[in-house]
Amino acid sequence: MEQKEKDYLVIEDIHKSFYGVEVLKGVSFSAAAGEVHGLLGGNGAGKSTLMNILGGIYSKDSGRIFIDGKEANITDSKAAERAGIAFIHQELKLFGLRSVAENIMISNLPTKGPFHFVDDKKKNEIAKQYLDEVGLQVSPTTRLDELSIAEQQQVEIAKALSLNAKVLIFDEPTSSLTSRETNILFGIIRQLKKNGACIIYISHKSDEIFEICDKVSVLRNGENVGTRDTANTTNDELVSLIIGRKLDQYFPELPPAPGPEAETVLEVKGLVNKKLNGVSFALRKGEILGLFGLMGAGRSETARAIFGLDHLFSGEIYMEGSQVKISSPRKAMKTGISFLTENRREEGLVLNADIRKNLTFPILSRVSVPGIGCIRAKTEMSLVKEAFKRFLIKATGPEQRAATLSGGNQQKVVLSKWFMTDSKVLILDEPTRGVDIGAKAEIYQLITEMVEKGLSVILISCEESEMMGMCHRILVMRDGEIIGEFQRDETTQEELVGLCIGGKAV
Amino acid sequence: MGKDTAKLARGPLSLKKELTFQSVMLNYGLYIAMLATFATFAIINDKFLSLNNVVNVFEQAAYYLVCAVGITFVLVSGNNDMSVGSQIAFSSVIATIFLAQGGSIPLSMGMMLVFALVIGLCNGLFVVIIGLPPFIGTIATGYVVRGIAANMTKQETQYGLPAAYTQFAWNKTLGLSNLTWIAIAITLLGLYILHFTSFGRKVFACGGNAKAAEVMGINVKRVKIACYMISALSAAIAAMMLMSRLGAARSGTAETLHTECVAAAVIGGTSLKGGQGSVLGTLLGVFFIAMIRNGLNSQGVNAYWQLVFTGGITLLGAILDSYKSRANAAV
Amino acid sequence: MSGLSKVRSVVFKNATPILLAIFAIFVVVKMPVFFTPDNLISLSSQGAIWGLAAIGMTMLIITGVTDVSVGSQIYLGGVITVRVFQATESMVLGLLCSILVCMAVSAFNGFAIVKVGLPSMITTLAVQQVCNGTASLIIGKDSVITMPDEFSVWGQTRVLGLPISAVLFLALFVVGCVVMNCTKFGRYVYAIGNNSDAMAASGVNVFRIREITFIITGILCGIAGTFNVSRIGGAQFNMGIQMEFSCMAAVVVGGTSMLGGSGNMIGTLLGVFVIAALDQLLRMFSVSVYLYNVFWGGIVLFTVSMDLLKKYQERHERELKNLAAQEDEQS
Repeated sequence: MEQKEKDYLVIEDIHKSFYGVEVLKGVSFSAAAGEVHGLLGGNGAGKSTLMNILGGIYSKDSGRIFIDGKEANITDSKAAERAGIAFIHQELKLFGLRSVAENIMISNLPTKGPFHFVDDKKKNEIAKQYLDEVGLQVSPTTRLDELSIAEQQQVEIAKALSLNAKVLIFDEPTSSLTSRETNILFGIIRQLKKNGACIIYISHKSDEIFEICDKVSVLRNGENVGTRDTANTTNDELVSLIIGRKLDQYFPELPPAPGPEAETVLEVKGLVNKKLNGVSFALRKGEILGLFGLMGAGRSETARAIFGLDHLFSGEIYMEGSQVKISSPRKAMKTGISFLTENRREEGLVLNADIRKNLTFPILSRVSVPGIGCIRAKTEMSLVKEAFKRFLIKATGPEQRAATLSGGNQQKVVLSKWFMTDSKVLILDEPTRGVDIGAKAEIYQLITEMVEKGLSVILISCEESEMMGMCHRILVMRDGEIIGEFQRDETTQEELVGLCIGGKAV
Repeated sequence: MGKDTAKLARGPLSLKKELTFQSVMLNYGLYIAMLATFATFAIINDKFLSLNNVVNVFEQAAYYLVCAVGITFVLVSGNNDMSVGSQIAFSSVIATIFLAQGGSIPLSMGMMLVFALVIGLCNGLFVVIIGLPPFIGTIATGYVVRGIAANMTKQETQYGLPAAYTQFAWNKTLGLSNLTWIAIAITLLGLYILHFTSFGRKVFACGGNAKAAEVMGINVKRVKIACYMISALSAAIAAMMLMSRLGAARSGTAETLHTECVAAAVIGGTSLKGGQGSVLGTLLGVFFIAMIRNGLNSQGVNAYWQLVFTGGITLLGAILDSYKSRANAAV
Repeated sequence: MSGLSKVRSVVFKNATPILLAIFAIFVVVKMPVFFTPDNLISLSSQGAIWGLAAIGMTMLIITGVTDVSVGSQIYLGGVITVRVFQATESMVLGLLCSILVCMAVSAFNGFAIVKVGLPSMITTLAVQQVCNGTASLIIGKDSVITMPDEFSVWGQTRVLGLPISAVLFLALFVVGCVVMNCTKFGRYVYAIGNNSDAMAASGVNVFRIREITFIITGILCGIAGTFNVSRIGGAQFNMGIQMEFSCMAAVVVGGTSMLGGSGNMIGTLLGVFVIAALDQLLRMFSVSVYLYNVFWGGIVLFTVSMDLLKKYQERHERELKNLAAQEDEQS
């Protein structure tokens, strides 16, 4: 208790539900001034919800927040600003076409004279001070979008300082920084710490947590499952906290793994682009190959490059032994590759169209009369009905709008859409995200059935249990490279997670 | 993730929600408004709902319906075309001058269609390839083509169409004027293409979610440009109909046509955000606006009131659309 | 960078200034007549009218809104001035009424666009029609209203040899410049055009700022309307409509981006001058009046396309730079 009174930021028993589903189940933690407090946890653990509550973007259902001993009532972002909380966003909230000084000072522009004209000289001077404080050597009059991402981030920190922020939240600040830029950022954070700021540092990467944080709290399923001093803990302990003991999940029995003698369907060699540093692997017929890694490690980026959505600088793709050039999704589909994207609302579904249309968009040529393009309604309907039955879509009928379906059923629609294309390789990017447990099991079952029929699958996920339960072979990615390959029974969840977050392997 | 789980908790579709006053107005508002106005006019004027009058209205609205059907394609594909009125002025003026000098009728029609394709392609290039805001790009091309027409005619009305051409509009087949038949045919064709072909499906996909359409292997840019070309073609056909009906062409013609077409389409349920709409809805919207105009005309209401009225209808349509898409998003 | 891509980079980034420079040199060398006082006065009295609206339009376009109703507001304001003057013999009262009405119209625009969230183009287009219709209704059957001489005093007086409207334009322009560059309000306008969400997150009332930009535009349109009728010495059908296109052309030629967030008042002054000069030149070359629209449309298409290409080019170069930096670090 005594410790708590000393702490600058205290969060007590925060609950938050979205439409009846509890996302935060009473989270408590506290951080002192002059402390860097790390926040770790898997996807959906509640980190960003919690931080959005602190930043005034969501309102909490219950619980209390104390800042410097006083209860803070954070109702909106302005109130958070007044309470001295600043959020360094993943996607920067800045004004690209304005000067650096303008960006830092926009909320409190100094004025002078009888007409309260903006005092640009003073503005630049003050901005310069804050820039010096974060060690950014650029003129305050530079246009913001001439700076690199790292420099823009420093501007954002300077802006937070100008608002007298005492609590700074960094949400995965290194995700788009190079290692040199990361070091500069850490220097700034240490400086801020010395000046008495209270810093919350959200990250996936445990090596960063060990390097920069004094303490670390691990969130899992909306609860704080443990706070540790980084000096007294190990990577293994953190990994076990992150994984916890999961509810038993139902995974179907996989068909036997194809041996090395099996035919190779898809092979990629040395894929390089902005996010990838030479990715090579081969996929065998009837295999489920897992691509495991954190967000930004290059898993989705690999899939997007193979499917022709992202530009490749170099690299070769072979389909059943012959080299193919894939410059667009159309070409990819022609060579027999399908791709279920990770965000079904943005890239998977046409939400305002009904299920029937959504199911047949990729196979329009098959359901229409060649040449004139007239849709053969009967053929289409029988295909759609079959899909409903085979892929267990629960809806009022083929005419229901996709937007009104539950997450699980939406995902089943997207999945069936790709199953129906009869492609040879299906890439699934987070197929069970935002899907309830029942639908999850059904989706796993469907994938297995399709694989038994000869489909080859690349499964991308950041859930280690899904990797262990659903893949024949697992590739681990980090920083755009493949850093490990395991047969399913050769590894443990701890090893996978440990490899990903970058501590030494167990 | 929060939203998905929320939907799960609420069930896929609760019937209760579907029957609120708001949702009824959003879904059936057009029909209710239509019935109400028709009833009002019918009470004031007993000839209003007579078969003769309705047929007459249809004939007057024929060219405008053809245009609106074309615009529906562009709207559903997620863009907008403000140049159709100017296109009509342009191609009708050129064709009339050509015909007045003794040019052949089929050749003039072919010429109009080719011009239409070129203008549609230009719109597509500016908006889809270069990325100009659809309104600015198409308004500007409209200015250019109308300016050319004005220059050719010095803003004088052009006469001298061959009798066969002008007679066509006034001849009747099976009790309906030829123009009405053409409008019906074009509407049916539009209905068929938009709702019953794979191309139509692609238009919906591109307008509803261009990113998803790209992932599903649809050539989004090509589809969107094709929509501009369809709109331009229908404008050319509308121009032929107008020439035949008026027996003349003028560079200042159809100045507010684009707004009226958009208003009709939006009132008929086509979304300004793309991805939603129907040719039948557009037909109803056109008919609705034309009937009200006819009613106002028969009451001797000034033409400028009608301008005010069209503006009002357009705003109403836009508001309706914005509430509808908000209601959809909130589901 | 190879030679060719260097050339491309320079051309893409500076197309409009390069063209302006060529234009200016051409005028200076070839057309000394252009600089005679008479010519300049005629030019400035024309340009000043819609130039007033262009001041407000610059603010609107910086926040990312295109208002196509300004020409019609000028028309409406002018007609109201005429009617009020006929009733009260007071020019001041006429001006006030004109300002009030245009302010109300623009305030409605702002409310519908910012608060309700309607698309700006369709809204202002509908409002344009309503204004046109209303103004024509107010003129009534006469179609031309000629006013007594005292009505023209404001429009035809000279101050320091310049028409009073031009002096007023320059004065208000200076005010506009100061507001946009020296006040918090101006900074907020730019910031909103850049990133409206971020602005809202810093606790500034975005709706209020944007509404004020609309109201300013309305006031300026009201003033322009009064001076327009006073200069002409009466009102006539459809005077001033389509002025919005000259405005838009001036603003984009002046370097304000149609995508919002960047631009400046001095550029707009230059743009107003260029468009007014072009207008005058077309006249002097006795280019057909009817071709003017072709020029304005072409200019808008060209400048906006160039602006977009410039953005693509800059992004491309920035990516190359970042990539080079990354490679640097790795090696």
